[in-house]
Amino acid sequence: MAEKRRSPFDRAMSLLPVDAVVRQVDVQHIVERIDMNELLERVDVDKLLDRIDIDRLLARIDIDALVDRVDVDALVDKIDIDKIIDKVDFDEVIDRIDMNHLVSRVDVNGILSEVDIDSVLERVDVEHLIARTELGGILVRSTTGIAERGFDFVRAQGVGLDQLLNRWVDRILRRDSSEAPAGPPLLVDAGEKGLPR
Amino acid sequence: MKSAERVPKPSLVGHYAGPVTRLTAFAIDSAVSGIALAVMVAAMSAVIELVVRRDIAAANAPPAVGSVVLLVWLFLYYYVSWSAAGKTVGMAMLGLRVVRRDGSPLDHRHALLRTLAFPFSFLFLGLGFVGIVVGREHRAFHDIVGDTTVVYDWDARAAKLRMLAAEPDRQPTPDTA
Repeated sequence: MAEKRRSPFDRAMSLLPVDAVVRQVDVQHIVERIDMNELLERVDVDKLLDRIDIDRLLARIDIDALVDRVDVDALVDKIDIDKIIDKVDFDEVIDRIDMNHLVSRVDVNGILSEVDIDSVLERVDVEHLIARTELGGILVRSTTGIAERGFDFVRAQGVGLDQLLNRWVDRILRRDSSEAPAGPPLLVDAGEKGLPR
Repeated sequence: MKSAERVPKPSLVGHYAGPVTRLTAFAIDSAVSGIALAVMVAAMSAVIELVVRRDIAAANAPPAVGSVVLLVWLFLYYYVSWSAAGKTVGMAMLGLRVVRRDGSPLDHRHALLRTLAFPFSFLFLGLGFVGIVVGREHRAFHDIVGDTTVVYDWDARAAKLRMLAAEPDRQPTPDTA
């Protein structure tokens, strides 16, 4: 009874050797004829992604192996750092930094131990510093009296006149002033020359 | 203070002292030793007058005695000063010090040699002092005999800082006035 209800097409198809036909189909040839771009345009990607279990997918990825294959230097070279920096609101970044916490983590002693204090002090204009600050007054009160300042004045005048006379003597005797020894070898550095004449 | 500009920047400690400073120190020493001798002679005369109970005019003493006293006093003044401290009163005021030629401290023997040779530097119109003016090490005849030299013994840089420090007290700026 059911056999009688089947259409002539169905009956014809049932007579065909489908498996034999499929074996004869060149699948590679069919795939090559498919326009992948057109096919992808017809795919609903969002629907597809909804059906993918991302977590399960990520669990199967060997991140280390992936990172090893990435050329980070080449990647960084392609990044426009200036463009990124332009987009950063540094004021906001700084506002979010806990400076007290940051400073508490700094090893100040360690930094200071690496600082060459002598070279730093050499760069300090002590004379200018004393002339501009009250340090001068403190120095005067603590180290000298009027007599000491008077002696300094007389000594300075004497040294100035010594230099003047030495300069004239060298000129008369046609000597090179720069070759004059500064003082006895035990009291001055080797190679140190006399005062500028 | 304008004098501060004349002070050389480096410290002068150990540098050969020049002729002007040394001459000034000698002048001060002459005055100090002369005044000290006069005071001592006056004091001794007063003591002797008290003891013998009669007037003694020290100025009327024979010139030879006066010369001997003066020479002995000057010898003691310079020898004791140089051997004990390496400097006289005048040298201390001018910031000078006598050292051995190599810079080591002066000992008694070389202080004695220097003191004994010192008067001979005055001979022939002070010919012995010419070396202080024209010599590279500024050594006089008595320096050569005693194997000594004279150096600055004060820190010129510290002195300049003191002078600079003193300036605000003298010339207050509008900010500090």
